[in-house]
Amino acid sequence: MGKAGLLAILILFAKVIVGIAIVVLTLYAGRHYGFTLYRLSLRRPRDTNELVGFLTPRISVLVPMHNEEGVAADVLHALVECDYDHDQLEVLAINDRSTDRTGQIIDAFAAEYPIIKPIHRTSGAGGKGAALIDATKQANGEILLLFDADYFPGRAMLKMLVSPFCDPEIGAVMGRVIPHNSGSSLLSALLGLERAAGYQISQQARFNLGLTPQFGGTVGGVRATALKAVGGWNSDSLTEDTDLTFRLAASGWKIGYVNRAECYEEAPESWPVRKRQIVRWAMGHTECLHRLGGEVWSSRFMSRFEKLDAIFVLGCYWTAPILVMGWLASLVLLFSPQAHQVPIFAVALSLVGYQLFGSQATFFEMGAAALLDGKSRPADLVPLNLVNFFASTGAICEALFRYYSGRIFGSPGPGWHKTKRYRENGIHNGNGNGNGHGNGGRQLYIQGANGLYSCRLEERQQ
Amino acid sequence: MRRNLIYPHRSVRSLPLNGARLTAAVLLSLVLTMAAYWYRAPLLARHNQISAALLRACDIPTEGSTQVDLFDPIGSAEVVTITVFRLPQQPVRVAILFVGAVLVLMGVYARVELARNFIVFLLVLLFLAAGVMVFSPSSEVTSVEFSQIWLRGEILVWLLLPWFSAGLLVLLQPTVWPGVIWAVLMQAYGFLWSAVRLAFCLGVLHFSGLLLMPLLWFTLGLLADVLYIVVFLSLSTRVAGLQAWGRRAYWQF
Repeated sequence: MGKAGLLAILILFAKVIVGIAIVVLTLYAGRHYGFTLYRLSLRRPRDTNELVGFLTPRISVLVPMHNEEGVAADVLHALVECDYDHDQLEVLAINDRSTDRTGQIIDAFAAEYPIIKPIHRTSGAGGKGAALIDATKQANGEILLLFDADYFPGRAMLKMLVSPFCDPEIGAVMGRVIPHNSGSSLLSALLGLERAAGYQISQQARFNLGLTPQFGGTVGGVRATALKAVGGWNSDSLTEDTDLTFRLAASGWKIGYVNRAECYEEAPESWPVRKRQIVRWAMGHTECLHRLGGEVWSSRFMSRFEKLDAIFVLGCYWTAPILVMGWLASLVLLFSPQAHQVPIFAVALSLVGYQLFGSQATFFEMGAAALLDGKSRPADLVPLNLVNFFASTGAICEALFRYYSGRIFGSPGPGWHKTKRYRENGIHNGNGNGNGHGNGGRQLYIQGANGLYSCRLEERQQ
Repeated sequence: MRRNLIYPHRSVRSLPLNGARLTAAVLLSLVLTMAAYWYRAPLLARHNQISAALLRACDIPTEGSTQVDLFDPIGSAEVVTITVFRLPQQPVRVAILFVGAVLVLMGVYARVELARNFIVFLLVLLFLAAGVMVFSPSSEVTSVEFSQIWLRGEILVWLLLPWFSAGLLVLLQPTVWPGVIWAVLMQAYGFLWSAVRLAFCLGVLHFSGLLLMPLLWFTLGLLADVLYIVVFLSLSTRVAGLQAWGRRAYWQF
């Protein structure tokens, strides 16, 4: 085969790649536009606010913590202040093999508040999934609510998250996550906008359309019987929340979403932290696609649209390599003399143009979310999300390369990494949680129901 | 602690699509697309005039204009001709330009964490172009060919733009007229900005040949179109927000 033949094959290959990229990205873009326009049009977003406080079953709040001394006191303090009947509430504070003072903080709270039950894990598998498995065995609630340690649940949060469980078909419920540190860095501000689009638009639209909102593993809850019915937590998955969402959906359970149940988290403030998060999500999601895709597609409980949307969600990280391959293929077409001569070049270029326009769908979603949220400043940041978009695309491509090379060559995955925390409130500053220094340790003061409570924290052993 | 961070905020319950805004969006798309199509010849001529004037203003010698075919329904357009730098003439200059470009990109790579993946992609394009210049000098592109590629993309952008501006700008406005104004502004801006970007790319082509062309085509081509569309979306959303919140504001908690 001569040079001309090879070039012809390369051009044909490039056209096929561009074609695939256009089709896939157009479908995703259409989905985003559809959700956004639908959400904008919703006069009454589906929610269960009128049922808040009507259903108050016994609940267990699970808070997995691994080296969370900087934030542990805040989340526990917020939980004991919630307006849920304490007779119906238990907080399982899981000290998951921490090497810092997390365990001492939990014990201090447990001594002050009987609803807090400490669980100290000193051995066994690591990771959130494994911690949740252990805690679930000790939980007595009908509903298990989950919070990561860096979250601030509001006073009514528990009642809000429990209210959708009035519907016996609901197996899990998700609240809305909002970064409280959006002003800390450009990245956290961009992530705030991204989160707003994901929750205010996408999750709400999917809930209203009867599709499957995603249970995010925090600021959410799962019905204990549903969890048991689908086999419990999967500690092997990097994204145990996605895994549970689609196992529940495939088994006939519905996932609820409560937009008003706003809970505040810490978004990554630096790119290395964000990148680790994306890599974990991309690998975990894609692993779920391979493991659960068939189960979801053949589920007799899900409608065709539910299945299709679920596949879109599970396969969403595939769009990054497809996009990059589409760009590279369009460059081949641009610089091939043969491609210049034929009208198909114009068609290809127009399709590439459309492919680029397709990315507008995400920005449209962000703009609409900022509009609905009543925030003007985040809207100014929408164009800067192009940088975030490129950064994430590269990180996802790397994650999928690692995932598939791992599958082929048997190399291990990235393992579970706790996202970095930026607060040190329980100990270092505090808004109500003061600190003192004594000989050989620090004094932690906790605002309890009966006044200030204090405990001595030993210095961490390095 | 919690009280300091959970802020009460106002929000808009919804922004339902109504007949007026939907009709305005569709009509505007049709009118602007038809205008771009029917007046394509004078638009392309004006585009070329602006680019040529900018090149002359920068003392880049032009060699008149050449008629190039775009594609069937559009016909042809006149494009300005300039001499393009070629590798055999001054290889040292190419090497200096290449090293300079790599250093600049590496500098950005080192300083801006968030831009690293983008910079890596640009570096790949730069190395590809350098490889083509060294190993296949006959593949170099003339200014006419570059302008042809540019206009083939941009004319499609001008034809598609009204539909996106209708979808992005008109439907996100609480009332009709602001959306219409934003859409018309964006169409005009897209046209003018394309002529400026083309002139810049031709100028770079004149001084550096193929070396920076893929990089420029990628960053200043359709990506730049995406960027200004997003900027218009951002500005119009801000204005829409002020208007919508004034009408429908309520405290969420």
